[in-house]
This record gives sequence, C-alpha cells and structure tokens, in this order.
Amino acid sequence: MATELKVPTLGMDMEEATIVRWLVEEGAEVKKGDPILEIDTDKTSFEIEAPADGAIRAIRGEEGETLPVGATLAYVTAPGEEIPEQEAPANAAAEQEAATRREVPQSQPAPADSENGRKVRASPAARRAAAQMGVSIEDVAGSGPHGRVYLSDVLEMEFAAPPEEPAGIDAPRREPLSRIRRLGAERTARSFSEVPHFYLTRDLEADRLVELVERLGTRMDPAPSLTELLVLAVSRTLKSHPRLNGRYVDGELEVHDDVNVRVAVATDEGLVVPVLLKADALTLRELVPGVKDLVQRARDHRLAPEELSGGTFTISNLGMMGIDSFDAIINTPEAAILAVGRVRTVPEWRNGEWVPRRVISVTLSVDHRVADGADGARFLQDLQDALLDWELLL
Amino acid sequence: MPSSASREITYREAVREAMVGAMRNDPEVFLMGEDVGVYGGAFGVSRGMVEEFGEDRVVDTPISEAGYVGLCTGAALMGMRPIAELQFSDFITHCMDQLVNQAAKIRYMFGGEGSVPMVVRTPGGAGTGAAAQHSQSLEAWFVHVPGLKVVMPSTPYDAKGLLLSAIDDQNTVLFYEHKLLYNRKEEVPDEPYRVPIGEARVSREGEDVTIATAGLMHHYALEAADALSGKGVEAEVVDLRTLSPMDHGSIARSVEKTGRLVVVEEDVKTAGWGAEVISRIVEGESFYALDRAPARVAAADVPIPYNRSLETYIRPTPEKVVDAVQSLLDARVGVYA
Repeated sequence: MATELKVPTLGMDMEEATIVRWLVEEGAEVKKGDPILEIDTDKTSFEIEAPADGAIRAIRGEEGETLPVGATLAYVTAPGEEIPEQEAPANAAAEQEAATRREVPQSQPAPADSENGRKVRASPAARRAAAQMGVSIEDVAGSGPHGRVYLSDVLEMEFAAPPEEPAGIDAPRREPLSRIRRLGAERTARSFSEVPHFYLTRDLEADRLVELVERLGTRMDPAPSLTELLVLAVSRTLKSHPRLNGRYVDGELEVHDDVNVRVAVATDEGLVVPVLLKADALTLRELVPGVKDLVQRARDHRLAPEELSGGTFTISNLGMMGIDSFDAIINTPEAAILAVGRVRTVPEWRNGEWVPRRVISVTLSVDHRVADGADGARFLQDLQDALLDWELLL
Repeated sequence: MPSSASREITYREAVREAMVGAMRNDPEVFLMGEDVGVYGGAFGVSRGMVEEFGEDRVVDTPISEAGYVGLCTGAALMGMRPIAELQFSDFITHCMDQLVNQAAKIRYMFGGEGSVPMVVRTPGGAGTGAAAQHSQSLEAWFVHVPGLKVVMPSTPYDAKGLLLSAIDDQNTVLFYEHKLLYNRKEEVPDEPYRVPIGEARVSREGEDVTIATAGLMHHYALEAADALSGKGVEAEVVDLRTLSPMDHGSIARSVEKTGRLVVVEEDVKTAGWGAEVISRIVEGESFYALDRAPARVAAADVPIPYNRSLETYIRPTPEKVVDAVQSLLDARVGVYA
C-alpha cells in the first residue's frame, strides 16, 4: 500500500498550510527523511519529509495553494505499489478546478515556467495590459486559483512600480522581507486592526526582584536573568487571572488551564516568539534553563514548529535595550501581552525624605473583548505583590 | 422617441398597435393565422382587428402552418406585406421548409429580382407550465439561416418599433414574442416610430460585468443586476433586441469596459445563440479585454418539463444569473454544466 503524505498538524492553532515549494518532482525517487516540500503556516515554514522510501506519485496542490490539515499532498510508492483508486481529484471542488483548467482557452502560447514546466495562466486582459506596460506576464503574481493572473494583478504592479525619478536622486530600492518578518507583518497588522487593544502602564517596585537576581546569580547555574524571574512571577500570577490567559473565540471566552508563556526574542531575521509550555508548573530550576534554551535556539532558528504554537500569554522585554516603557501589539489569538521596560532608579518621598527606588515600568496590552481595565489592573497589582513578597508565589 | 403623446399599454397592445397602424397605412399588409380573427388570437394579440379590417385582411386559417406560411411567402413575393402568426413558436417545425428553403433563399436565388417581405410573429418561451411541445425557445435555429432576420423585443416600446421596422423590411423577419411578456406594461408613444433591426441597447450601465440577453430574459437580467448591486457588483445589461443580424459590437464595447461577460438566454445551452455571442467576443479584439472566462445562463439541455417545479429548475432565473455572475467573479467558471 502506498504511503500517504498529508498536511501535518504543527500546533493546536493550525488549520491549514500553504505550499511554498515542491522540492521534488512527480516520480522522483526519495529516501525516508528526504525533504519533499516546504509549507508555510501562519507561524512558521516547515519542510515535510518523506515518510518512507519510494517514488513520489500523484502530487497535488500547487505552489501558493492553501490546503487544510490532513489534505493529501502526494503518495510515496515502493515498486509495485499502487496509489488508492479514489484518489482521482479528491473532491468536487478539485474536479471543478480541473475542469476549469481544461476549459479555459489558452489562446496565446505562454512561456513555460522553467522551474516546473507549468505555464502561466493569465486572463487575456491581464496579458494585454502586461504587454502594454512592458511587463512579462511570468513576473506577475496571480491572485486567482493556482496563481491565475487577472487584470487587477497586472495593474497592481503598475502602481507598485517605482515612479521615474529625476537624475541625481537615489531611487528607493526594494528588498524582499524574510519569511519571519513577512509573517510578522501580516500577524501584527491583523491583530492591530482586528483586536480592540487597551493599555495599562504602571511602575513595579523592583528592589526585591533585582536583589533576587543578584543573590540567585551566585547560587544557581545557570544564573537566572531578570526576564526569567519575571516569567516565573507572571506565569504563577496568571493562574489566578484566567481571563488574561484565555482567548476570545466566536463570542466566547476560551479558558486554558495551562499557562504557556511566550517570550519575544529578537533575531537577525525578525521577531520570534517561542513558547514555554506549562510555565506555571515549572520549578525555578526547570524554568531558567528552559527559557535560556528556547531563546538560544530561537536566535539560531532551530526551533521545532510545535515550539512556536500554543502560547497563552506573551512577555516582551526591551529593558536590556534601554527602553523605559512601550506598548506591545497583542500576539493573537492570545488575550494579553506584557511589555517590560528597563530597571530605572527613581526618587520616592518617604518618611520626610527622598529615597532612591528601583522600578520597572510595565505595560499590559489587553484584548478588550476578553477583559476589562479592572481585570488588568488587578493582575498587575498581584504581580507587584509577588515581586515584593516572593513567598506569595509558593 | 417622437415628442407626441404616450400612454401606458401592454406588450400585447403594442404589438397590435403596430399591426393596426401598418394595416391602416398600407392596404398590402394583412394578418393570417390560426384563430387570429373572431377569437382574437390564442393570446389575444389581434383582438378587435377582424372587426376593423374584415376577414379578407385578418384571415383565420386551418391548422396548416406549412400551408399559410407558404401562402404568405407567395403573397410577399407578389408585393404584399403579410404578417403570419404562429400560435406557439414550437409549431414552426411545420413550416420549416417554407421559411428555410423558400423565404430565406428566394431573394438570393432570383438575383434580387424577387423578395419576401414577410413577418412571422410567434410567442416562444417557457414558464407557463405548457410542457415540452408548447414552451420551446427555438430562435437559434433561424439565427443559423442566412436570409432570415430574427428579432426578439423585450419591452412594449421595442415591440411596437421593431414590428413596424420588420413590416417595412424587404426580408423575412421572425418576430419572437413571449407568453410571459404580453401583460408587461410600459409608456409607448401613440404615433408610429421605428426601432432599427440589428441594434442592441444598453439598458443598465455598470462597470463590473456585462450581461448580454434578449426577450423575457432581459427582465431576469435586470432583476439580477439589482440584486447584484446590493452585493456591490454593478452589472451592465445589454438587450440585444435583434438576434440576427447580431449587434456584437455593442457587447464588445461593454466587455471592453467590464472585462467580464455572462450571456442569459432562455433556449437550451448547447448550440444556443449565447454560444454565438461568446464566439464573436472571443474571436475579436474584445478577447483581449476579457478578464474572466465568459459564462452562459441557459435552459438545461432537456425538453421543458410539465411539472412546474421541474420547469423552474431547468430554466434560467434571476437567482441563477446572480450565481453565475458571482461564480465568474470568484473565477469558478468554465465548467460545462
């Protein structure tokens, strides 16, 4: 029996994936573990490996096409194996698409796409406009099914084309975004336009926290960082604030028993936000190396897809980069994100005199569909209490 | 439109008014058909005419389409201006030879020495529960015959103006009415006027899709266009009015603007006149204006069912037109079904 290659589930949020590129052609002989194709989810891109030795048969799904989890991508057949019979186009829609492609007149010979031998499909109007603009139709990204190019796609290129600059002025250049930055751009834009954000900012008294970092630094290996202690405090405090650890789903609050904290990590290719699962249940000795390991592998781009999925709350710390405070965009579908600034020393009027006091400014961004200002304020108060009296977290 | 007075009349009355006007004006014009006299025609179109013009000019015939269409062909050859009425357009099969081999060919074969200025009026179309032998839309057959003109007006105004043009015409004109159009009302001028044969009309302007249609289907297309407008799609509706000679230029101009074409026709899809419309658009320069594959909304390739639900199921409807336009915009077209 042939081995089926399906769109895998790479995390609990994942429903579909987009085919980035096929790395093999129909009929190619592969060994188990060979990369077959690259897919993109909304969080990561991922190479799918051959599940067995054999020949790749019945490839379906074109580059750029989005398929649901579980959809068949291809079969791997050993010599003599046949692909299952019902695996003609899998459903009515696919049949219709196939029929469409047979019917659409290909009036002009389109140049073959050198990579895969497929031809560009473009409407006559798109071809005419491209010819008039001096644009090669193969260079136009089609928005239709299977990348079919419509007139609007060509016209968008015209508007996107840089205007002719007078001599002497540098024309702006364009460079492609890294995949991480591109996904980040889409996700933050969606979150910022769809999720009603509000922001709560307060200074947290941090003398005890800083002391703890210094004290544990001499007694623990690896030494805990301020971020890691904050992750611990936040994770455990969230246990009594389930709204902020939940998410808004179709008019209801989805509650999560585990606190899966994401830690924002800046990398050379953009922001990566790995997840520390069940952070609330980890001891300090488990949590510290756990965070350090995630951060390091995030910087090295060595995270597994499941380590980027399933977060319930995010912490973003720019304090080490000198930022006093900032407002973060919620990492949807989570309900909140905590933006952490640097440790500052501020004067406080106490007992008739000014005394120096270390504080950290934090800003909690909250999805207003999930929680109100008072919910957020109570969380920050509990967090403050914990930072002053760590025994509260026991 | 003349500046004279007008009033609201039905399509039926508009057709009658054109015939009456022509007969008062020209003694060579006469009407012939089954029950057109005392009975006033199967659909009441000629009601009252025998009383005014007498049985010599409003002539009842036996059930004999081949006979009286042949008679009218001969009369036309001799210089008269006959109007033959076929009770149902389905019965046109009986006089096919007279129409296709005689009326359509005589002017050509006699080198222009003789011509057949005859009008054959007949109601086509379904939607009345009249079953497979009384509901067909066979007009495409005659679009296929050089030497015949085929008109299919959708409004009382066009019915009167086109019928007067048809009576004037030196060639045989098939004049397609529709049973469901007879009671449709509109302002129509009292005075005679002509709507030229072979000119389509843009009855609704829009930017997003061209709907080319004729006859009763024109009204379905307008209904669909209104529904589409509520969904943010502005359809341009082109009423062909004449199927042969076909004014594809008007459709091409519209397609140049919209880039999308849907044809709505009541005849069966296979080898219907909608296929001719689309062929002309994709054969010409307008091909390069198309941004989607064209689509047709037509009757299913089956005899018209007697059962009303089944009849509705296989006929074009405004809802099917809306669906077709939306599918086309979604690029799911190109499937022969």
